[in-house]
Amino acid sequence: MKIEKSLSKMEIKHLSWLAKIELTKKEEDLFSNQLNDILSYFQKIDEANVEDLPPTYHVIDISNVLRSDKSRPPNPEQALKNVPKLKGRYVKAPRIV
Amino acid sequence: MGNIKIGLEVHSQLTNLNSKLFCSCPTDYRGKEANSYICTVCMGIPGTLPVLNKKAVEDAILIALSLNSKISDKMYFFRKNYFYPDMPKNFQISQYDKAGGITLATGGYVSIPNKKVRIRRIQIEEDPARITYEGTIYKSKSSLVDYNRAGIALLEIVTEPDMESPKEARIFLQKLSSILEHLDVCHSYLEGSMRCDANISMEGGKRVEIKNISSFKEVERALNFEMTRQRNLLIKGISTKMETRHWDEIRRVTISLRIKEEEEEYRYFPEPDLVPTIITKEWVETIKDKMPELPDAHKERLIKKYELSPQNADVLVNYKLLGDFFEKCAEIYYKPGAISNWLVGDLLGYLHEKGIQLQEMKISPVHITKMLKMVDNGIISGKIAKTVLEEMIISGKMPEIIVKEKGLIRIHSDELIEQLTNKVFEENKEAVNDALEDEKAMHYLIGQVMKLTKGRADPELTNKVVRDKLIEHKKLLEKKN
Amino acid sequence: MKKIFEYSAFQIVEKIRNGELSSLEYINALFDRIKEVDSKIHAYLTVAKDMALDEAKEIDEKANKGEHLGSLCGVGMAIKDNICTESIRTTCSSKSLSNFTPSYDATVIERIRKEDAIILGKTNMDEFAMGSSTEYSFFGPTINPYNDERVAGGSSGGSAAAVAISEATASLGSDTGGSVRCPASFCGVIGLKPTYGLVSRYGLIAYANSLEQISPIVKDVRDLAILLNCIAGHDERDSTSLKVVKDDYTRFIGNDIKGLKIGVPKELFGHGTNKHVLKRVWDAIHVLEDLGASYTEISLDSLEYALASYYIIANSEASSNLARYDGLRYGFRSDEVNDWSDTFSKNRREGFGQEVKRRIILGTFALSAGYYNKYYLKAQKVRTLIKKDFDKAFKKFDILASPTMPILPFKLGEKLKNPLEMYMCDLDTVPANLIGAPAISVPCGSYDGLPIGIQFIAQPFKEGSLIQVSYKLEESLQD
Ligand SMILES: [Mg+2]
Ligand SMILES: [Zn+2]
Repeated sequence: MKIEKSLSKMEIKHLSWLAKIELTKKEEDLFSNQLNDILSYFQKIDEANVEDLPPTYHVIDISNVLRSDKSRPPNPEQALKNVPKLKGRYVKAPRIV
Repeated sequence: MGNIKIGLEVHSQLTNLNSKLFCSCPTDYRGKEANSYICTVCMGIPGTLPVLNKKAVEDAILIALSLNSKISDKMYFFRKNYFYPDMPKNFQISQYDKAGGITLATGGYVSIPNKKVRIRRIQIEEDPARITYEGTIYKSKSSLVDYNRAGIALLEIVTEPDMESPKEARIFLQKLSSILEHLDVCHSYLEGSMRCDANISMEGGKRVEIKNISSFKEVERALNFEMTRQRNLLIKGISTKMETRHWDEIRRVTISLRIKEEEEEYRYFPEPDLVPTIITKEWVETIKDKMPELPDAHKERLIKKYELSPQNADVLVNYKLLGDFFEKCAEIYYKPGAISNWLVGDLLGYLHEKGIQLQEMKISPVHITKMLKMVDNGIISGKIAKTVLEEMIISGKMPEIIVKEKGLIRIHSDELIEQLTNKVFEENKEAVNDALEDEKAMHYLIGQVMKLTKGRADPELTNKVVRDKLIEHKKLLEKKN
Repeated sequence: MKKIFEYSAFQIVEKIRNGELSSLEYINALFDRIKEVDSKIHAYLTVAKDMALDEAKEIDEKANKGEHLGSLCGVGMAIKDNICTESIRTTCSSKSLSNFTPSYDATVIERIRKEDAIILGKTNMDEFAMGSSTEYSFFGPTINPYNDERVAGGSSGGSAAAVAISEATASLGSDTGGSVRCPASFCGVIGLKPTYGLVSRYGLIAYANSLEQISPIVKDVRDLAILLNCIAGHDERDSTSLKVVKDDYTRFIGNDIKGLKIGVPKELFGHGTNKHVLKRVWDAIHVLEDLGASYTEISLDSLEYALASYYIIANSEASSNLARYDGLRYGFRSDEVNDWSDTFSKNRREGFGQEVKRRIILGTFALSAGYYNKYYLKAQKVRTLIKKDFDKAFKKFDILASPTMPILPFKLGEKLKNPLEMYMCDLDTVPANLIGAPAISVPCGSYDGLPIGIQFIAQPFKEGSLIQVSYKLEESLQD
């Protein structure tokens, strides 16, 4: 099968940056090979003739699931239960710049 | 210098909702303890799922209608994927007009003097959390996240680049905020409820985006700065590059974010946890039926019904709260001209001067009408009334109480005014002589009497006493000669 | 005679209700069993013994007082570790959630608790349900109860193995592309993936939202009907949950299958399929034929695109779903380095295993600018094509039959070198997820001591048909 698209290590680097997952050099090499294998398998769908078909974003046809605008008491204890680092009531995050 | 084109991306919270966009947390988070208005859904706790707030969709449709936009008959939510510490899920549930996505509405316009600013699209999305810093953003070793705001319903309104000056951008935003205020869906006076990004391009330069403008009052400032910066570059023959800049409100400069273009890859795709929303004609009609009076109609009505000046009407429409206040006053005491002058002039001026928000002032329409009646009945002078007004705004006391407490009632006593006039005549002999020929000098004498009474002397009476006294004085002189 | 921990759920319920069995005694027996075998099998990541024993005592008290007992009263259940359980650690077999203890119960947990089921603990799985062998677990693999050199299947390997070796009477897993049917087949138990939207996903830690359903794993079909009765039904907290009239699935137990039309798609019996698997599956189809059903071999051309389409969609959704594990609000947090971006990248590098990283990178790629149309959008269109093919088939057939897995349980480590080879295992199971249809895996014999499962797929909401045919098959094979 012809490979139309192969992922370079540069692209893997960029993808890992986008996905915020630092990869080791070794992983970059490994992934580059493995992902290219997988992608060339994915090329299979290129052959499928689906031009006139709509995408199936939702497999079961439902729409308009809406709730009424009623508020309930918030539940900060539940929400904050697993926070690793708090500063006062704030969630501590790394610096921005 | 070449033409300027400005486009805006306005983010407006739907502040009148009871609950957030996708969870039931209440929305009145302002002034509350950090991370107290949150639940597992808006914190993005694993396993939780969003459910769309119906009223948010309806409010958004109402806004879209008021901006003459075309409401889509179906809309989807998309995920906008990007990492940032203010994003509970590291994606924002938003809408998208590409990749098969359909936003709530497209097209439309807002009329401002001499032009229509076209709307490109309107979409619903969730507000991120708020980040604060220990010290400044640059020096802070860490950032602190408060998720209270996360998940608040946000409407994004994107304009075409139709504005041609920073001032026009401000006027557009004022108009837009007035419309939202009239719809009673977004109260822009609430801190951070209306924020915007702006893009500006000048002839000969590339488009520059300015992010992080926290209020629309800052927009004009940010755009002016950016315009000057770009002009200076152009003068030096340097053309601006396409970039995103950050408005630093404190230093009042824009700073380059040095974002590579490729970093803006949001990997939009349809939110699988939400289903499409079909917006039927009938649904839109029921919402349209609730459409209240909008700014243009409001202004026209104020002018017609109360015979207000267009200037006053404009202000009352821009400050809808004040406009409503005005009408309540006029209902109680039908002196619309005087009332509008007081409200638009003295009251608003004082609020601006003191940095007080309209909704913070402690007075009711009755305060104003009572005050006005006191002026009309000669109990206090206009000048005193101004003092009374300021005191009312701060303390909320009724005018008659203030007048009594401060002893501001007008002096009607002939005897007292005559005594004081005599004193003034004694002390200003030269002026008295001048006053025989010069009106100005006469007014000076009247002013001196008023001054002695701290403005409380009845002006007509004082006028009469001084004139009589002058005639007397003239006769005396003639006799002497 | 059956040991106490070997009973089926419906037997436990019956015995507790009529006072024959003490819930405490039975739960204790299950924990003894866990102690006995789990060091070898490694089905459990966390056991909740104290909580379970307290609940057992409560049920005994209720029984003594003659109070109402739920439809799952006393039944000891194991829960896949991607379903949130209040106060019981829920890790998704990932380092990134190794310290995560949910503050709420998933809807299905609320429902089984309401029917008086008892949660024994949380079971091993492939990290974030990404895998077909339960080898991609931060805590080590689950071992096949039938052969200690082989995998239990995945990703719900722990839930299937626990039921197979009677460390639990029934369990819940999740099925995104076969994650319940695969281990059910490899471990010789029954696993049903319900129609998309039939069971609430609220509290299921998402891998690929548009494909997955929480799914029961049981020892026999009657248990399946009882458990499905409990967990199915609309939940207003899940926007994709359907408002359908609740069926009573036990009413399909024992109904005969005369006249049932079975379609046999040849694409699901592909070249790579193990010949022993083929034999057992065909044998089962003939058993059904003997019971009055008829079958026809058919072709569903679009199926050749199913696996690629599935993996593109699943990985795309996963890349977004797993973005939230940055170490700020919950889960593993590494030391800070430089700014937020570097810190996030480090948290995620250390928190995720290699397969998870691989899938996130793949999904990120499939959604990225320039490739969206070629991969994600195209895959979603292919999904429509496949759905159309199935719709056509279901006009003619009541159910479709195929092997659940094209292969026998494979050896530990055998497919770890080549991820694509691992993906290929899901060839027969992914179509049901793509089209949202219910599918079941039922044991249909074994080869060399290794279990083999047959898969039945029905039209959405026809779980009843699956239960009906599966029960008949089960009945025949037991005779
Ligand atoms: Mg936005
Ligand atoms: Zn919330």
